[in-house]
Amino acid sequence: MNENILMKLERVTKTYQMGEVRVEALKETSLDIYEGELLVILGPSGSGKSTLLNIVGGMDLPTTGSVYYREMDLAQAGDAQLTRYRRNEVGFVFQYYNLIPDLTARENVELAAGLVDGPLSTDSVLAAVGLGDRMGHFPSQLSGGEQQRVSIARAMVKKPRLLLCDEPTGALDNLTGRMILGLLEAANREQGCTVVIVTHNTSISDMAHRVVRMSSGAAAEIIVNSEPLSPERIEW
Amino acid sequence: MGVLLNKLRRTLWNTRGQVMAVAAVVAVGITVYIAMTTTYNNLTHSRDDFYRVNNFAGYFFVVVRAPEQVVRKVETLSGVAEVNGRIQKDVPIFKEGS
Repeated sequence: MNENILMKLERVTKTYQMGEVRVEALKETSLDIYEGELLVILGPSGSGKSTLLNIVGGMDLPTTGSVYYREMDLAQAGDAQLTRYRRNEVGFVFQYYNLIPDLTARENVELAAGLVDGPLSTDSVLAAVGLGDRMGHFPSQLSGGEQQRVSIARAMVKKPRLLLCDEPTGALDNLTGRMILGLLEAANREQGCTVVIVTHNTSISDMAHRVVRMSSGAAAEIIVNSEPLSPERIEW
Repeated sequence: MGVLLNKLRRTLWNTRGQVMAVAAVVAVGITVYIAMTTTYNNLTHSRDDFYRVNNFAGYFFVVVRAPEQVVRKVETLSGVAEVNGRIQKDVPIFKEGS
């Protein structure tokens, strides 16, 4: 991890209007994300962590505040700029995988590879996540852990600078979850990819360089972890 | 694009029952539309032919005790090709032996 700031969030708020009720999902949250770090955003349901991740990933816009990715303010960016940002810079890993059911594992990854210039080889990425012999299988023929590995391969094939994971182990058992965390840690360590993991599982924070604790829509605490553990040593 | 075509092909195959049902509904709809349109056109042509062959008037108006000049006046209206006036009256007829 180095000290170059990849993303800078300044006094970001997000408010949803639900009929008569105004819901403040984020309240003046400021946060720096450093290049090459593994950041865990921790918090209970409704604390605003997924909203924060969606804003960082350019899938949602803040109500007020700035979100700088290098020189570009995502809060002011147009649709085309946001699409280019999501396509070229960001990889997403979702809790429930979001694979296309009618495509095989290889085709799911190929589809993402086709969106960018100079992607990694589909077969080598799938082999790297341990699915070299399962490429021709459809999502319904794969276990939850295997589907999540396909979704990591789909994110990594684009060589993203920023890998955003929303509860990546939320639907998996401990053993499989640890394997998935190992892949995310390898993406961070070996490829220098900045990884942001949103979770409510406090154990996962042991492997992070930094941990942001969210509470009631604000970053309540930022903890620097001087000695991150490897995923195999995490207990939960 | 090849991947998306694969997806389209498999989606169509996996939902072939629904696809065929939708196709059948569309086919029946088109068939009924063509049949009804053709019938309407044929009836319109038949009516026009009948009117033309039998010199049938486009409109009939019943007026009471109108003088014959009314016929001339109606003829001067724009769009009127021809006007025929006639007297209409109920007449009792007795058959022989009744």
